[in-house]
Amino acid sequence: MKTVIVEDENLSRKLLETYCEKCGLTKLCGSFETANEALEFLNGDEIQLLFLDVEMPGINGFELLDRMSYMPKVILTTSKTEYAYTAFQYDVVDFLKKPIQYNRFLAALNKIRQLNNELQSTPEEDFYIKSSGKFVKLRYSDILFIESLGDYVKYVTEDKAYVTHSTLKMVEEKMSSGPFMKVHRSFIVNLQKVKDIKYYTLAIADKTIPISKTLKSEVLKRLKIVE
Amino acid sequence: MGKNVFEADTGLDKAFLDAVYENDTQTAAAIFEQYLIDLPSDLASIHNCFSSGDREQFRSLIHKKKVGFSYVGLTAVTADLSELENKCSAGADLKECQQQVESVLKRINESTEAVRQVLKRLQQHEDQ
Repeated sequence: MKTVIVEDENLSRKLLETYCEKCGLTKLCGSFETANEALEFLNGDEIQLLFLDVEMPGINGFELLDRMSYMPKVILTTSKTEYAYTAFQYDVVDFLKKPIQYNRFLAALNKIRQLNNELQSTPEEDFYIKSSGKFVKLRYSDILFIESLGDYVKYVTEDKAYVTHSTLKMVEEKMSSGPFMKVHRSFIVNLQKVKDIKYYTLAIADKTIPISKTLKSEVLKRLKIVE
Repeated sequence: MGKNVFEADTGLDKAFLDAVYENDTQTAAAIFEQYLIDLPSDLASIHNCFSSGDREQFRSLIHKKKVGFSYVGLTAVTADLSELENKCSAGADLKECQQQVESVLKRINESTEAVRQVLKRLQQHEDQ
């Protein structure tokens, strides 16, 4: 996991560097004293995990997140718990209160691992659907989205669509884990295939799919996107 | 490591040090050494910043520095500095904080020898 530390306090930074090395789960790509120093690096090289202090000279941790072109998973490191509310708005994964202890550091990393597994895992590799009078084998990872057509559903892959007699509710039960999520009463999507999100729609390949108002915040949460 | 190195009689927070470093004497030695290297300039900057009378700058500086003391077991110093930071945030007059600042600086100075002793033990432990 490509990781960067942004922390202005010398000993906390050094300790985090050591923890990262010791845990064997992170690949430390950079360690910076100020957010200003880190910004150029972060926007030039996409990382997966950011240990971020909040109160720093120059731009603070939240301002750094505002200026980044993407959102890695963030673990805040701060001595003030009053930042928790803002941290929640930025959808940070965890909040390490300084001085940081190793067991707490590991617990935060475990949260990251669980999230990664949730987003990456698929319920099964392959499954069969009955379409046009025959059973067709599909891979979960090939599916872009599934659309309800009343008593039928359409499985859409990158090169083909298959219509089968079923309901979206039945499909939803079958695909309750992994990267699939119901985003609208007529659509289940593979979150790993989402290209972009605009207002109440998301794009997968060339298709624009509506997102229910009630489900939007959950969609953003699953995708780790800050509103 | 804890029983041998972070002895309770040093006055440092043994439970906290054990939790931070577990059995990693190498990391503990590196952090203790860095603390002692940084200490003279850290103390000077705290003293000078307080003397300048700029409350926000002083608050910001102690906010930054306070945590570092815990990493050598001076958790009480971190707590004292947090209290000072809160006073500054609440708009206290720096002059009223003079006695408290002097007391914290004194406590840090008095603890330096204990930090050195623990570093020595950590290094001896490393050599064994």
